[in-house]
Amino acid sequence: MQRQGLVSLVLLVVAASLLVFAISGAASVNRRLGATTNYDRFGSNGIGSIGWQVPPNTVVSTSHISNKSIVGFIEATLNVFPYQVQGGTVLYLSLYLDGQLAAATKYDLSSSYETPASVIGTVEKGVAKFSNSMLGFTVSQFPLNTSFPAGTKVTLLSWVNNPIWVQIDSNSQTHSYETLGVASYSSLSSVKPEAGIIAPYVLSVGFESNAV
Amino acid sequence: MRYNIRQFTPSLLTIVALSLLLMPPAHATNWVGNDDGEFDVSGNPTYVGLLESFGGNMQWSSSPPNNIVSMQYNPDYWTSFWFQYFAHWFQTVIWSDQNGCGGFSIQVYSTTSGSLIWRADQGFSTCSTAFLANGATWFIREDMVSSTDRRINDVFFSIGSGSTTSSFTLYPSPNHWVWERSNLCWCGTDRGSTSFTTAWGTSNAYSNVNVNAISPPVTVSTAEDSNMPYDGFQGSGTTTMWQHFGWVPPPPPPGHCGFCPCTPSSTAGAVSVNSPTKTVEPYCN
Repeated sequence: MQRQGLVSLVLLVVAASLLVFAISGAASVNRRLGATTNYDRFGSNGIGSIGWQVPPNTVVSTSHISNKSIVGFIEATLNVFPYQVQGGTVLYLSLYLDGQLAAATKYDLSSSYETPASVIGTVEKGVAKFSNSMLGFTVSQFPLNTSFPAGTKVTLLSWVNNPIWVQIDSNSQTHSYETLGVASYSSLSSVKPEAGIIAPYVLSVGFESNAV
Repeated sequence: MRYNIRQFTPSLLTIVALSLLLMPPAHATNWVGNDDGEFDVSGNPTYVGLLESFGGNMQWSSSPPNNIVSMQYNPDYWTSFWFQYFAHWFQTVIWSDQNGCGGFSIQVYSTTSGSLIWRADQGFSTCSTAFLANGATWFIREDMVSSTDRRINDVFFSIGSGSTTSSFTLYPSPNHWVWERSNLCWCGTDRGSTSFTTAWGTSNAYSNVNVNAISPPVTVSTAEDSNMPYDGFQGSGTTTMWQHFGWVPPPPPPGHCGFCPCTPSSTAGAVSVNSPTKTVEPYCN
């Protein structure tokens, strides 16, 4: 008797699973995934070949104002030129929404890259033009449990223990702010984005969210 | 209990019958557009890449809605549904317009809701029509965290021709997503289908471990499509497997070697893997 009951239970579970599988499968036919070129990006566009050698042990804060609601996720990218990266280099990125910590991540950079960038011309005042090879380091929060309205100030804080060459945005209307001499880094739960002094260049920081 | 089984049986049969009716129809395996064969790997890869080498110019007559084409590195739908982090679908893309302006992209969708979960994009550092010409290379390689950890650590993108190259390595964060068996699509974008008029080249699927050919999937995952034909895979079971895409270009004028190497015995491989209805036609004499 117990065995028959168990068989019935197993059959029921299998049939129910099959039904769920079939429904989801049928639905997927009408819900195909794909590549879209329409995306909601604000901040810097990431295009450009000019890099600034960010000094070590320096926190650099770069903020932009979202022009649309932030829905679903928020992602930030900092572009780095793979040029003269020292072994043991650690890069921290922290993402803030209206000054409140949303996400943080740490990268251990390699001292060698498959397509290293090379300097075109000369280095002047810590700035150089590079060949077409970059690394895009991201930090993101998903899913976002609440949406944020247009006008939200989104801030990326970066810190690195050795100098690295970071892409700059010469056309930006905003500033980056730097705090020198920070020997070690940990993400704070909230920050004032304009803390420190105005950095000599604006880091190229792009943000993406859901355009749908 | 016997009474219970009698009660259950019609219900179970109804559920099973309903399930069979709702099952998505098996997809014809065409080796065209988004319906290309898949590549999987044996063992634990540290990278799996796609390298597209153009042997002729790529042109198209239409590609609605934005007249943009894409090289899509698409994971298998059902493998993603069952095994990917939260049933996500981790897609990597290079896209370009007819001026050779475009970008690199990672796009992550939910297979259960169809919604976009995450994405990151980077435009080409330069535009060049050479990216669509004979000799161009399009390159996407997905690098794992380690040989024992299939999570994707970074994606290396490159597009180039001659001395003009744009390369970008994108590090997704958080890096939850693992590598799944995948396929190539020369496609449109934004749910569109491209009508290519000329294209010819070789697609290499490669890894540090052996790459294996799989017939086109039952369920095509991407919404985009095209008329791009593919030949069967060759070299399955080795670290570099390849197939041709497009149409054999017309023979070069006398005195020119064209796409073919200048050797008297050079012929295309006539052995076709997993494409029983198509063979690679000899194009080099």
